[in-house]
Amino acid sequence: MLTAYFDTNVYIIGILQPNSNSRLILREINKSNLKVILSDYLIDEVLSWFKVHKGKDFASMVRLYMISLASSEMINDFEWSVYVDDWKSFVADIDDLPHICSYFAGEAEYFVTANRRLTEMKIKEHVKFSSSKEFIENVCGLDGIDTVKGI
Amino acid sequence: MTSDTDVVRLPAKDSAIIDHFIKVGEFKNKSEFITYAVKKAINEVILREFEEKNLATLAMSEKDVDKLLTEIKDIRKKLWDQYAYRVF
Repeated sequence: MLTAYFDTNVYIIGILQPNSNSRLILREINKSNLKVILSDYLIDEVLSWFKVHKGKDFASMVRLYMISLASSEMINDFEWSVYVDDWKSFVADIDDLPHICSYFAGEAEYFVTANRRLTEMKIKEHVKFSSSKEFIENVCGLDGIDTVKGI
Repeated sequence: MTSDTDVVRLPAKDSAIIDHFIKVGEFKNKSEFITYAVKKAINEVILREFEEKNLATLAMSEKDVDKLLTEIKDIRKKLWDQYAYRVF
């Protein structure tokens, strides 16, 4: 089964935007066609955004959604932190590092994100970055939706 | 992780299919299959609920996407400080 790490923006956009490639990804995940790598850092980030912008009740639903992803593997800080020294010189923003390290710890094949700044860092030579649209079209073999930045 | 023990009544046919999946190595045991199936059902119901709640949401503009990415970045910076303090 194909393994992927989806950045925070994929979950937020997928949950809130009906006509988006990120929503198509969430549907594909539910069909269990993909194994999803999650991390404590990722979940904290997603929930923090929803708490601020949509309130605690909505954030609780999102939490339930994320922990109920059937084909998923959780990478905790004691696992991703092992990779920090190896990869810290490849990212310009140190705060992106837990995501990159979780990708490696979970042996993911794709890192899906709308964060162009991250995809242009030195780490791009070692991480297979993809936008949501590219992932839907090239990996899932579905018709993507024309959206801003392929979200 | 705490767990509850529940008795689940299944039609014999379904039970046989689960046994087949276990036999071919898809799942270790019935418990693993049931856990997987329950998670999947919960996930599907929540996703449907999200879809119903956001049916009329307008498509994001480039400005909206940039704003979202900035908001995420701000959260990420704060989170990193907390994690770095705890982990390293």
